[in-house]
Amino acid sequence: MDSIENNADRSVRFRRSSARYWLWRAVVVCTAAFAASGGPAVFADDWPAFRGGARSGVATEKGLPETFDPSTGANVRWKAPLPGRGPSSPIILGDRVVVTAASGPKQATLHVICFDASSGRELWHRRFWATGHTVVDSFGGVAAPTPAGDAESIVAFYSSNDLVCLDLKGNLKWFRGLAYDWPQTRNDVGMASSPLIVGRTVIVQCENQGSSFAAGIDLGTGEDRWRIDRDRSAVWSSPTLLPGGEGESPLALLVGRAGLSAVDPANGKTVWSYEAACHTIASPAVAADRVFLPAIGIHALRADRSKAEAVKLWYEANLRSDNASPTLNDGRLYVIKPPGILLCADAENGSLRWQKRLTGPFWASPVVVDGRLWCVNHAGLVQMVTLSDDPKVENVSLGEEGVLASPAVGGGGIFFRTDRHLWKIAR
Amino acid sequence: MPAFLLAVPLLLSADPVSSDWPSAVAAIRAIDQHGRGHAEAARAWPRLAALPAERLEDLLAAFDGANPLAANWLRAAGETIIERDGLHKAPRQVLLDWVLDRKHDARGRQWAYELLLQIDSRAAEQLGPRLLDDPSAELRRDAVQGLIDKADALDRAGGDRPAIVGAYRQALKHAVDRDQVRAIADSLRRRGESVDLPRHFGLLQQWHLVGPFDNTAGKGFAAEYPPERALDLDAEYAGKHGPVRWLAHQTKGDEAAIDFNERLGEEKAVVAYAFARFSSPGKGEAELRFSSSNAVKVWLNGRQVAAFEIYHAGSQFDQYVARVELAEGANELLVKVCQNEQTQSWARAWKLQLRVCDRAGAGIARQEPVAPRSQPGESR
Repeated sequence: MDSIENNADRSVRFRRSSARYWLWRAVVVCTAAFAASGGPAVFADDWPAFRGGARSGVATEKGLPETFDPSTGANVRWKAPLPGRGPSSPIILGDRVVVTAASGPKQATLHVICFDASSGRELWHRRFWATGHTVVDSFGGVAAPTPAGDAESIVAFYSSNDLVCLDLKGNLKWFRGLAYDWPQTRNDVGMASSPLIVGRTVIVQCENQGSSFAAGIDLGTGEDRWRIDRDRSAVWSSPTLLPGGEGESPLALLVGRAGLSAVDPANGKTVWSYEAACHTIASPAVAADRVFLPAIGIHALRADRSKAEAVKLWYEANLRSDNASPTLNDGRLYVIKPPGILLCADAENGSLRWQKRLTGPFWASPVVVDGRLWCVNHAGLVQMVTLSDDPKVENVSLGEEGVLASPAVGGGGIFFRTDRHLWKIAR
Repeated sequence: MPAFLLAVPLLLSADPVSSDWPSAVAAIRAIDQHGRGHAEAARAWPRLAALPAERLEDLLAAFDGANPLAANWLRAAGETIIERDGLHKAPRQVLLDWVLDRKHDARGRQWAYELLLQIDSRAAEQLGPRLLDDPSAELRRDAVQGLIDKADALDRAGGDRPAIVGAYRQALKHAVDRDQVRAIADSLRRRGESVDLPRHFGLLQQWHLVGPFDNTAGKGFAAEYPPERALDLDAEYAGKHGPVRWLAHQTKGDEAAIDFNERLGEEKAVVAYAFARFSSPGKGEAELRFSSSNAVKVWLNGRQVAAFEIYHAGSQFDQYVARVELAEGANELLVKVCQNEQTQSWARAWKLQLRVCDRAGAGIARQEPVAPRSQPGESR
């Protein structure tokens, strides 16, 4: 399909790009995200990074569809073609949806594409040449990390370790080639850790058997603020924000193969660490001072800043997540265990509340949308599970296989990204 | 003097592009590793992006000599210009000339080519014959695909066999991308034609191997075993389990990979060395492209040119690339390939595949089964 399938014109919508709209949005800045992140101006219903603003895969937006039907077009607002492959998820910043992709025989052309969330119209498109190597497993792709953004900037990262910062109009702010700087930085399966913006710092994890490090990069200038050596082993999971309490600054959680580290985003210094055989693909879920760490089951931790430590609250071996990250909502923890069993546990003690067999395998992390968990498997089958004690599952196929990207929710819809299209599901 | 006349000199000098274009370009081109030069480049970039599309030639000229980071800053400026002014303002003839002028930077030429395709989708067909032997693999690709498409069309139209084979042979002569080469080779082989893929890619097939040496706890990667100090194909060394000697080895099949498990015996925590001599038609820049799931070190003519201490983290054709200077005539290559102690089924591989090619990927190595005549250790 080479043109946008667009149902947006059926209704007249509030012009989100108007100054009035932005003023209104500025007023409803999400205080939780603001406090948590040290001030990046993300908005309440934005989805500014991998797994959303709170990094737990939970949407705050209401009034979204409960289902959709690609065969009739019901609730499929638009579907836009993409110029290349990518396991990366879309992000949503106000009325913009941003996606990355990689194209060419070696996936060496890196794309950042910005769409109008309402209409699916392409607003701008930037291409870059990979400066690091682009050898990846054919299963994945070079555009694997999900971009991150705030009200002023978009940061796109790739398996080639190229890091691009643009403003929301597509103007380049800076471009870094982290493997150009450290040529031994490589993982030939592909690297996939998504960047995290905390205040004015972009945090990236480049963990591999070669030159392995995490770095904090100045969002404004692209210059290094700090760089710390990490274990020389491959990690694909993403840095996660641990919000600070009253008067506390947030921390960045870095998953390593042998444990979790909480580092100060300002200088990269480790505040506390917790030893565990961590899952190297799934990322932790966080709520306030609680961390739910996938590590051969789930380790529930309470971060104690006053003692600079993480205290284990419980460990449940049965909650053994696969590649999808766990999701936390209303005191319930949702984990997809191989070969596709959805487990619902009490976040207070890890006790199992229910389990439901889904159709796997899953690479995309599920998202909670208004009381339903949307899970999309590799075959493109979207499985919508009602989050009650008697869960029901509704299946809808996207009709496109090879889905690795997690859905994103915001801008009035639910967005799916396949290797060929960006979909918007909306009423 | 009327006030408006005072403004004339200001208006005449108000072209922000021409007034400080050289300094803006210099700031972008000064970007280097670790974010060096970012502050100046960030200030300069809007001046580049302010260039009118009609003057894209100035931007294209800035690509010449730019490093890969700067090239991306330049491209972003170019795309911003095109988005603002429209593709119709881009100077078609300038772009055309730029693509065909091989003295310019390959990235600038590639970007000009992509713009041309957006202006006129038939440009690829028109330029094709002149890009078939281009030093840029990216610029060759469409031209080669054009030949493949013509051969396929001839086949579908029921053309005579010699004409079809000739068309595929013509495509193969210029093809460097593996997917295209393999597609052409498959077409030729289906018609009973032989294709020497290792020779096409420049894959080395004749080797001498020695090992195993010890790599317990990964210490063998740094250890300097005797073949690294002095090469003597008649020597006997103290190996991990006893004396070891060099074995002549000829690879098999299209992949032309050495499987050390087959030749030296399958085991863990071991090091092997592979030595090859090849000839180059001339002195100059080339690439060693190699693949291995194991940790590797490579020496060319006695000088270490690559080292990757990475085990079982994926392996693909052309996985690693080392840019080297070849000597005219005989060149000698020594490769150290280390197997670790992982026991998973997918960690069994102990292999090496290596080719010598030009920057576009066309094979340039030729091998004859001759004994080495020098002692590489003397020059190390």
